[in-house]
Amino acid sequence: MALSAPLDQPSFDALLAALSPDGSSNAADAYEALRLRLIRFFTWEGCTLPEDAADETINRVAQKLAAGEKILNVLAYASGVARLVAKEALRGQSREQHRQVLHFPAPKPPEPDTAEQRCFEQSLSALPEESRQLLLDYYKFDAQARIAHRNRMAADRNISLNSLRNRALRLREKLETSIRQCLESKRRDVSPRRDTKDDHA
Amino acid sequence: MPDSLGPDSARNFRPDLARELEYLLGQMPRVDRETFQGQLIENSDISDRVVEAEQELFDAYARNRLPGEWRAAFEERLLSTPEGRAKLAVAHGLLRRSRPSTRRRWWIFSGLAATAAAAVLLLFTTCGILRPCESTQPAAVAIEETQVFELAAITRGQAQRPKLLLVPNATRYLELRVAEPADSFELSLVLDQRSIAKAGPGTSLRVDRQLLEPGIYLLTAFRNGTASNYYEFELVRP
Repeated sequence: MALSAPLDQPSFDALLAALSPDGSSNAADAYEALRLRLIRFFTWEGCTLPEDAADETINRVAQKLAAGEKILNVLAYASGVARLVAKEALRGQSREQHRQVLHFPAPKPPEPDTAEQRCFEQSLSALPEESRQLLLDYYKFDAQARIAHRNRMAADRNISLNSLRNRALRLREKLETSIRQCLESKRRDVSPRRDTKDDHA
Repeated sequence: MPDSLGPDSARNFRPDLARELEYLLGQMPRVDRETFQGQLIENSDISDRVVEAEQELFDAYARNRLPGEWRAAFEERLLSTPEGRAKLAVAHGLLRRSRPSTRRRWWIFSGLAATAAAAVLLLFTTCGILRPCESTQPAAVAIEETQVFELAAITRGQAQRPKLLLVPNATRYLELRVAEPADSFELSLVLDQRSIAKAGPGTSLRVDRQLLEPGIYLLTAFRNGTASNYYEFELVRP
């Protein structure tokens, strides 16, 4: 993936203006929402650095806008750029990196006290109590029982099922990000320190 | 995993999210895929629906209820990344938190539940077989969704292993009790050389139904670390 120049202020301003052309909506929120959708897209497409690919997409769109390109539908334009960036990124990834086929054993609950379990508990406890309860409640049961349970939850809270779902999805994504960071930091902790001999040689 | 188990069948797996699941598993025709990619970048609702479908896949995988024909694609496309590992950790964590802890399952089985379990056991005994007769189904619901079976150790010349029939839908836990009166057994339940559950010391073992699939199980009772009795049974669904 060929990286474009970093986003400068005029380009960023042009992007925000395009995301809220009549000023009726919050451009910053629209920007964050677009970036989130792009990160998800690149993750599902198998890009190893989805955040970088999302930022590269945004940079390219913003620079076109700042250069005076007339873009009628900025989201549709961004989706075209994103597909192009995905192709470039996947082409650049080695075959192993792109679709690294790991053979997993039949899933079973992790053994007590694994890094995953510790990170889960740590990340979960960092959430506010109300969020934690909502998350644990929302993902109870499976299949049809789960759907009925969620309907009851929404009714109890007097909110729509859609609002409830959005809250739960966001919380779970937040938890996933936190666990990924936790696992990465644990991996760094156990990795042998880089020998500094070379520096002295 | 057999497809006949309802939610384990791809056809029955969240049909309302069929398109999103197709996309995630790489089963969408190329032209449709390109259109869909555009939609999920432009539209937050569609993007959220794909997240929901993805979470359902991870939860099903953690519960060992992912349709067999999806497993390879799921592992290759969604699990083989650091993000996938974190998502599976969340699915496992949520599953673990949605179940009572082993200790609680063992020792806080008091009062009404114990009485009701005894009532169900009596009903099974009355039927004279190791499976609940039709009339026991409401009783199984009343005991906090626990279905109890009492097992006899394998003996020489035993004609055939008993068949245990799971009550559909209502059962959340299966409790296996060994006949020998002893309080120092460690119990280990195995299916196809795969450990399913362990418990003890005691004379019963309680398992979440979702961990169970039809098959021939071997329950081994250990005393002081040595296998002393074996209990074999076949678990069947109606």
